Amino acid sequence: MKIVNFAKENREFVIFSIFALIILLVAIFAPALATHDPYEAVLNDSLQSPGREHLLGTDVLGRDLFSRILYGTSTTVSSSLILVGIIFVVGTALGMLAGYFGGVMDMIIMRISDIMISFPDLILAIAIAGILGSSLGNAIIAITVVSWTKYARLARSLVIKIMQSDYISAARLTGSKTPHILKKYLFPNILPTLIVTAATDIGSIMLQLASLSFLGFGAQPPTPEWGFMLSEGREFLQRAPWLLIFPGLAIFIVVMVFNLLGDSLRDVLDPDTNRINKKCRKKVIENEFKKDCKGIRRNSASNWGIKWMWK
Amino acid sequence: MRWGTGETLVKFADDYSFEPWLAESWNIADDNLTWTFVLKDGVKFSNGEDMTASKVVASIEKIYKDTDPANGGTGNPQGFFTYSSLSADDEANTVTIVTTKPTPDLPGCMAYPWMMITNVDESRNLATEGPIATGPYVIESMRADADIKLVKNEFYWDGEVPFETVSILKVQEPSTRSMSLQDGSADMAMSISAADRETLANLGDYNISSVSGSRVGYAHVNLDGVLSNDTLRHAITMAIDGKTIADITTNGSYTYGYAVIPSILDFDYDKLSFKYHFDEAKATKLLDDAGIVDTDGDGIRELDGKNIVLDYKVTASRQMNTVAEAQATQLQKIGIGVNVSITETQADVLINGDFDLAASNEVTTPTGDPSQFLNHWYSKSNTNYISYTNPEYDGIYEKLIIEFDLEKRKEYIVELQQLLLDDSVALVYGYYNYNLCSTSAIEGAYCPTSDFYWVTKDVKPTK
Repeated sequence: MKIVNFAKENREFVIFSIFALIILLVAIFAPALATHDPYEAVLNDSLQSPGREHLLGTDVLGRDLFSRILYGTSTTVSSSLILVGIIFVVGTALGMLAGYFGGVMDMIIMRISDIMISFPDLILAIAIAGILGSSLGNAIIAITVVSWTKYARLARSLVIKIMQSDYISAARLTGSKTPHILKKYLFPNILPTLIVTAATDIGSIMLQLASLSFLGFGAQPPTPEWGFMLSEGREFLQRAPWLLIFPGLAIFIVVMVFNLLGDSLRDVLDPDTNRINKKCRKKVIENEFKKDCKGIRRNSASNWGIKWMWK
Repeated sequence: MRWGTGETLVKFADDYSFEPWLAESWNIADDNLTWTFVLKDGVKFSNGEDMTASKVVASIEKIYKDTDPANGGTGNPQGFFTYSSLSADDEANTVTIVTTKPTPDLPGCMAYPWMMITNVDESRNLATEGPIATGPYVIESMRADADIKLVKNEFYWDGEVPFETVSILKVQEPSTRSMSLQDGSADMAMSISAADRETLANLGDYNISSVSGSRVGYAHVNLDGVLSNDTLRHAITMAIDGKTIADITTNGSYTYGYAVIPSILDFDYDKLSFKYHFDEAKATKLLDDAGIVDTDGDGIRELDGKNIVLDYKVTASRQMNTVAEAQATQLQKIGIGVNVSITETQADVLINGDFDLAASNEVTTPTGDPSQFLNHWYSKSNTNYISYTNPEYDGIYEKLIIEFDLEKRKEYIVELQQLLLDDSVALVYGYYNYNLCSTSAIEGAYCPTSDFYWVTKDVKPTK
C-alpha cells in the first residue's frame, strides 16, 4: 500500500525510474539482445541501409549498427555512472573537509577548485585528455578533474550552514567526536541535495563523455561508443545518414531520461519544494505562501547552493 | 602553386615525364653535373617585370637560403640536390646549375612546387601578400588556414586568363566540401569522400575527375618489437584482404596494389612477384606451424609467452583509420590483437619508433622518381623508422642514387621493391586516388596525377 501511495504521489519519478531501469537492463543484457557481434566486420556488407538483416543498417566496415548501439549503451551508461560516482565521492569528501575544518584546508581546497572553474570545463577536459592520451579511461579522468569542484563547493556550503545549527552545538556540548558529527549529523543532512545534483548531472556527464569521444579524445576504435560512432559516421552524412541518426537518437533518449529522472528525484527527496509546489499548484493561497511560490520559481531548477542560502 | 599563382621551370605530364614550362629546354653536360636550362622568352612576373635568367637564379638562391636549417629553415624537402654553383646568362637567357653530386632526377626537382620561380623582393611579407610569380592568378589576400583571394594576373604570358577573381576556401570537413558543391557555393572541390562522390555521380551534372596518383598508403612495420618475427609478418600480410578493403571499405578511394610504388607508374610493377596474397587459412597454418599459437584460450596467440597485441597508430586522413580498423578486424580473426589508435600527426610517432604498425601516406615520386622515397628502408637513412637493415637493399640503393640510365634505374627499383615484398616490411593499402569534383558551371577542371596543378589557366567558365 505504501508503495502504491508513493507511486501515486510521485508519478513522474516512477515513470522515469522505469525508463532508466529499462536502459540499465539494455546495457546489462546487450549481448543477449544484440542480433550480431558488434565487432564482427563483414567487409562486403559495407554501408547497408536499415532492413530486415540489419535493423539499423551497417557501418563502413559492415558491422551491425543496432548491435553496436546496444553495446554502446553499456559503454556509455557504465562509464557515465562510474564517472558521476567518482566525482560525487571525491567532491563531497573534499567539500565536507573544507567546510568542517575551515582555515588552511578550506583555503587550499577552495582555491584549487577556483582555479578549476576559471576554465571552461570542456576545453580544460580536452586539454587534459590530450595530454594523457586518447582513451576512455583518460577521458573519465579528465572529466573528473574538471567536475569535482561543483560537488566540493556545494558540500562545503551545506556543511557551513548546518554547522551553525543548534543540534551541532548540542552534539559538541555532549562531547561528540569529529568523525561522529561528520557521520551522524552532517553527511545525512547534505546527502539528499547532493544525490539530486548527481542524478541531474548524469545526463550532462554523458554528453561530455560523448563530446570527448566525438573529438577523438575518448573511446578508441573499435569500442562501440555513441560519440565516437557519430564521429565515424560524419563522413557518410549523405550516403548513410543512419550512421548519425541512430547513435544521435540513442544519446538524446538516454540523456533526456536521466535528466528527467534527476528532476523528479529532486521533487521526491526535497519534500519542502515538493509540498510547496503542490500547494502552489492547488492554489491554496495564503499570503505567506504567495511569497514562497515566487521564491521557488525563481530558484528551483538551477542553482541549489544559492537556494539553500536563500532559505 | 596548386592555386595557379606560380609556375616552375619544368612541369610533370600525367605519365610523370617532363614537359617544358618556364624553361624551353634543358640539357646535361658530359660531367653529369652541369645542367643548362634555356628559359622561355616573353615570360613576365605579375608585376610586369620580365623573367630574366638572373631573376631565376635569385629565386632559386632564395629558396635554398630560406629553407637552410642554419637560417632556421626546415631544410631541403625530400633531400633535394645541392649545387656548387648557380649562374645566369641574361644574354642567352640560360641558367646553369652545377650540382655537387650526380643528380639524375634534377628536372624532376625543378618541377617540384618548392622550386616555384618568384621575383625576389625582400620587403614583401610572403605570409600575407604571397609571392610575385608568373601564374595566371595573383594572390590578393590570404590568411593562414583560411581563405585565399586570387585576382587575374594582368601580365600573364601564356594566353588569356579566364576568371577575374578566384576565391579559395579551406574546408576541413569532407562532407562540407561536397555539400558546398551541391548548394552552389563552390564550383570546384578537392578530395571528396568516396561516399559523397557516389552521391554526386547519382545527381549527375557534376564532373568527377579521379586519378590514381603517385601516392601510396601503407603501414610502416616496425622491426624493433614483436614484428621482428618473420613468420608473424608474413602471416599478417596474408591475413589482410587488401583488395576488398580498397574496393569496398574505402569505396575505391584506394586502388589496391602490394608494392610501395604505385602500379600505374612506369616502374615495372608486373615484374614483381608477391608470395603473400590474401589467404586466411594459409596465414593461420603458417602461425600454427611456427608454434605461434593461443595457449591460454583468450583468442589471442602468444609469442614468447606474451599475447600478440599490435600497437597500430594511424591518422584520420585519407580514410587510413578506416583501412586500419578493417585490417584490425581481419587480424583479430587469425588471433592477433590490434589496438588502433588515432593520432593527430604521425611525425612524432615515426621518429620515436613508438608503434608496431604506423600508417603513412606519401607521394612516392615527388620529383618524378622514387629514389628519395625508397630511402625509408635504407639503413643509413634518417627516415628509416622501422630499424630495417638489409645489406642487399643498401647495396642496390647506393647504386640507384647515382645511376643515370633510366632502364638500369627501373631494374634497381624493381629489385629493391622485391626485397621489401619478400621481407614483408611495408603493409601496403593501395594507391590513393586523388579526385577533383566540379560543377557544370566550369570546364577544364581535372585532376592531374602529380597533384600539383589544380587551378590552371585551362579551368574556364562553361560556354
